[in-house]
Amino acid sequence: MPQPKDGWDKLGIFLHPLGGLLTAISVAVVGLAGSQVIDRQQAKSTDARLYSELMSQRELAESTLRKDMLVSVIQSYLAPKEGSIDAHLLQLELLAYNFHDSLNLKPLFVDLSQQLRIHPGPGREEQHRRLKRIAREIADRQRFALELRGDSFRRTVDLQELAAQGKAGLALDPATVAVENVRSEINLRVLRADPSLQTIQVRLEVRPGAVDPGKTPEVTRAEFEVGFFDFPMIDSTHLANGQRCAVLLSAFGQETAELTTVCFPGEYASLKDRPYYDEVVDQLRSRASGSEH
Amino acid sequence: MRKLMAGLVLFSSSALAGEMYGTITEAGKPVGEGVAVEARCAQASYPAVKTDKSGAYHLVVQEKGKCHLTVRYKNQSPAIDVASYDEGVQVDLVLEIKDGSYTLRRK
Repeated sequence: MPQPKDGWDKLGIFLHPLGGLLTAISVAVVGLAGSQVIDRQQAKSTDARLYSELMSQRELAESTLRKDMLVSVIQSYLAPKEGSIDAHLLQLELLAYNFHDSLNLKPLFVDLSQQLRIHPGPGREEQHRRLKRIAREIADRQRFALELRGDSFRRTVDLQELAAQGKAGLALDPATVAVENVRSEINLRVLRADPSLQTIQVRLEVRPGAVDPGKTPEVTRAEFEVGFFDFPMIDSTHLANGQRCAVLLSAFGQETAELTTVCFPGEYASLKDRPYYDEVVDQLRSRASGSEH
Repeated sequence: MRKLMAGLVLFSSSALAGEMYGTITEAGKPVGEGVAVEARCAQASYPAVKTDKSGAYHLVVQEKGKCHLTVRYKNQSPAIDVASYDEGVQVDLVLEIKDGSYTLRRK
């Protein structure tokens, strides 16, 4: 004899078809939501692809334009012509403002400066001032960009005191700079100065602070000439820890000269100054070990 | 950031002849507003200029060559030798206490 159905049995009978319906609705909702998510992701990926294609096309167009411009200006600059110093100045100005962070333009600046000295004539002083103004503006622009990522200091060179010191040169007050949490002590010794060319021979010594307590940091020493036509992004000293330091001549007077030293991460050096492979591997290793801890 | 850079470039390229500018800091922090900075170049003395709230100052001198800067700070007058040129020159100064007295050095 069948037992009488209690409340739970009746509820089971009622919910059994409803359960199937709910399952069907759930599958439909999940399917719909899933397809919407997939659609959205596809739309995002299409947007990203379109953006990257547009950016690459723009980069390509810009690179082609820059290449054409560089070839055209360089060819006309190097073509031998008499009495074309104004044109050369304009071409150099074009090169400097457009390619100062990828090309070393010092040889062109030095050459034009020599031409101005060798061929005196009316307006030469103004042309020389213009040449120096371009170089100073480019050097300042680069220095400002590097100072935002690095550290800098300035020193005055007493030219009379330097002359009195003879070959020993003149040691400037040391400074400590901090770049990417690495503190380094910078020593500068001025060896000689050439007032006619407005250049200074310096010896740079950089002692980085120890990052790894078990390792003695490598000291970098370099000797070079600094003039108004040296640009910090292009012409810098490569330190053992991958960072760079550049010395700039900021001013040259009758009695004194002004040197600015800027140190910055290697990533901000020009395109032509590529990091060494072992340096890149070291950096990757240290980043990987840093993320593990 | 671009605006800051453009401003700095503009400031630098338009720097006046014989102009000196920079910031004064003590223990890594700007000294703040109202610190007097005086310049003496050759025989000429220039009236004091005051720092702004970020500890920055700028002054213009007529002479080119060696100058003497004096900073009036907390009833003391530390001084330093600097130089003036055709172009403007940045002279960032650091105040330090040595033997109970303030001294000035360049950053």
